[in-house]
Amino acid sequence: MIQFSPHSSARVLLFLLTSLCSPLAVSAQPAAGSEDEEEVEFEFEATDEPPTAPVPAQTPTPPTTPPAPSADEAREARLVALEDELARLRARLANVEREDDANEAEEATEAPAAAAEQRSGVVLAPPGILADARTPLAVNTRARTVRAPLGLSLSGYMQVQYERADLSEDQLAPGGAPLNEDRFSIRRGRLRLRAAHQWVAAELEIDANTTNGPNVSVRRANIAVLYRDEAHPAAPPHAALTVGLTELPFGVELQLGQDEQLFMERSLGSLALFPGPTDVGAVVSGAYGPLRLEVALMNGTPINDRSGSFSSDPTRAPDAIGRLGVQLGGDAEQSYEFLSGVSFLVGKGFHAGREATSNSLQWIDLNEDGVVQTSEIFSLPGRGATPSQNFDRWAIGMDVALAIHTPAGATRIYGEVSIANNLDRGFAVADPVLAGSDIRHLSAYVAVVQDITRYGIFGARFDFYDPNIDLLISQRGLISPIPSSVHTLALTGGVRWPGIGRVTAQYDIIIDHLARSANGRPADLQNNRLTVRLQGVF
Amino acid sequence: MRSVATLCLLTGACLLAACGDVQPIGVDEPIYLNGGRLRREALPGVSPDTEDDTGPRVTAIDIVSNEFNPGQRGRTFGGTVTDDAFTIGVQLLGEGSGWWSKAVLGRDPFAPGQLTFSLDLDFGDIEPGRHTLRFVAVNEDGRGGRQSDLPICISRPVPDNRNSCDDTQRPPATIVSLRFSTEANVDLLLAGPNGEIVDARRPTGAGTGPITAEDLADPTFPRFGRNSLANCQPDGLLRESVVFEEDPSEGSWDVFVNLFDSCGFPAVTYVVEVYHRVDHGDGTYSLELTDEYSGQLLDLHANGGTELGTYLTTLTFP
Repeated sequence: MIQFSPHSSARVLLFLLTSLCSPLAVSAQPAAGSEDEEEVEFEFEATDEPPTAPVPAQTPTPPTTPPAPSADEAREARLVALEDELARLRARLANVEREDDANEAEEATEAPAAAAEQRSGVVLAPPGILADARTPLAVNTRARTVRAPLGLSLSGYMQVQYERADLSEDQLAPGGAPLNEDRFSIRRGRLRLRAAHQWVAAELEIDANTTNGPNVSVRRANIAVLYRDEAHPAAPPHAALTVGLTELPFGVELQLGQDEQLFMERSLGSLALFPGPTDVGAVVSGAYGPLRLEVALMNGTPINDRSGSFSSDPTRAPDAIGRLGVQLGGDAEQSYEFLSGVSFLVGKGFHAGREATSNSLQWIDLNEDGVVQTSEIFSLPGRGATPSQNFDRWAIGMDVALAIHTPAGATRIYGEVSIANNLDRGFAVADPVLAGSDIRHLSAYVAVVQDITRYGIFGARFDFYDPNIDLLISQRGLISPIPSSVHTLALTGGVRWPGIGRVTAQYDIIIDHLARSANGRPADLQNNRLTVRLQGVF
Repeated sequence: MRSVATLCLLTGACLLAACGDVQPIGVDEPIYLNGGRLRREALPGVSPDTEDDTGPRVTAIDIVSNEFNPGQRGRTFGGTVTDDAFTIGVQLLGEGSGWWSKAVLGRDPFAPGQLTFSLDLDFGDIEPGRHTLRFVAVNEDGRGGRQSDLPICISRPVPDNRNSCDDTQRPPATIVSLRFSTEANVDLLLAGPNGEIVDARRPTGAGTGPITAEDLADPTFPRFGRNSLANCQPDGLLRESVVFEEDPSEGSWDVFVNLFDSCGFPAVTYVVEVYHRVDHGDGTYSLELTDEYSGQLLDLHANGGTELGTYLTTLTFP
């Protein structure tokens, strides 16, 4: 983050004055005709003579005019003038040191408030876990925007990674997409511009990545009207209305900035229910003591975080999304932080109809001899269009998070459970119109992240996602239930340089039912994945 | 609780090594079973030569024809298995890296105690000639019963009058065949001794006048086969051929390759093959690849058929 330091000129002056204490004989003379202290010019002459003994500070007196300019008297007068000048400089040095001490004391009093702001979901300085060993438990990206420093700020980050997947093959899938997933890529390259005012805050974030080919797109663009808590500047605003492209207020994981998360991607359930973390709409948020409330009306078509594509919302009805929660602890003197909440989503899904078709002919090689015969030509009469249909979808979720700060570093434990209906849009896309019945999903995860001093970090996350709890299979003419759940254990570790970046590696152990055994029953597919990522911030 | 313990054990095992079934898409296999799963391991079951009838068995296999073209897709195989089978497995004997499996269907109303199956197979670039498809039924424990073999024949990519499947069939005397690498509209063209042109627009080299019945009956007149990538429509052939059913008594034919339309591709690589019939003297015949000419055409060579194209060689008869 680019910021301006108000003490830079004083530090330059302090450096110059410190030079007086070096083994140098100093000859300093004010520039001719200059009375301004800021315009004093110094001349330095190196000598082998030891420095003179320190002289007590005293008020400088104007030099007297010598009665007779003999050589000794002139030397004596010059020595007196130098001693006077030295005394004056020492006095200035003492003043600067006093000012500096006062500034440091002031900063020391502000530090606990700033730390409290960070842990309570508000970041005023460089974002996230890279900035402070006392990593905030959960940083709400929208909260960061509304509590950004007044004025303009520019920040960003870049994630470059190498992936190796068990599923990779040097072949093409039907349709021409390569099956190889072993590759280097720019996962995210974000440039973020924030503007904050007493009553208004705005954010624009641009992403450039090569995940599915070179792509540049907008990921956040919103403006917020705020009613700040002036009595407690560190606290979230009493009320805020955010409109534009912003995070969906559902759970904790979805609202974290992608530079904040230790794990490479969100849990599978979160990726399935919400292919992207942002959508266009309006969010009303409020805070009263430990209570937190966010309610949003959004289009219902999140921007896909992987493809970068934006598809227009096909339904008129917006999705209503919200979260009600509590947040405790997080003060400077407290060694814990706790938050929990319940979330909901209610909206409409879309089943696309078919377009009308024209008459056509089709040849089916019934006898498989490769030769057209009249009995093998069939007419395909044109068909009329079929209407599209909407269907109801909903989700409820609960999240719990706890952070404990110890001298070894913060320990964070958090998790979520979500139950959803017809909401899968990213993994096994739900279409109850085709299926003939509602499709229920169950998603849960628990994660532990442990700081190891200021420079090390380790995390483990186990997530569970079942895209269709009621899935049935027809085998040997019989209908029977079939498991479809996916379990993923993500192990992550790495090193970080606060304020600069981090290097992390993650191995995903995936246990699922996507393969078929020799007897045709679901079996675990070998599809583990290794990711090594370098993230730099500014 | 048991499932949790099992999951923990699986997770622990996966910490040491990658786990799960490797099930590649299998498009690089000689046969591809649509909707099936490729298993890169030995086909279960016992050899069809044994008399062991324990375990599930394939009781019938229904096919329309046992001759297949290389690259042909969607050939259907139906049949029945005993009612203790859960899946049906198939492999091209001696080729490929494993076998394909697919769940069997419901009970056969016409054969009590048996289950039906239906397979939809694609055939890749397989060496022409006789091959064997081996089937096996697999029970709930993943064990196969006695395997069943089905002889099949893969025909040549050039028109050989079924000689690859039946060597007593007499193949054409000379075949000039062009194959190319990308889906561009590349044409094979032969120019005869009297100015005849044989190509996609003029499929017989019977001169510039109207084609008569006598012309078509003359086996020494060359015939053009299918026009591949006409109008840049992908057809999967990527091959054109001109056939001399019998060699002319005299004369020479110049062979050209022309890029009619690049279809958006910057370059196309081609190979022209010349085959000649070999008479073994015992009533059997074969085709011998005698010459190959390869080259490359760039998109700037596309001319829409206004030129003969690139000259490659001359066929001189006799």
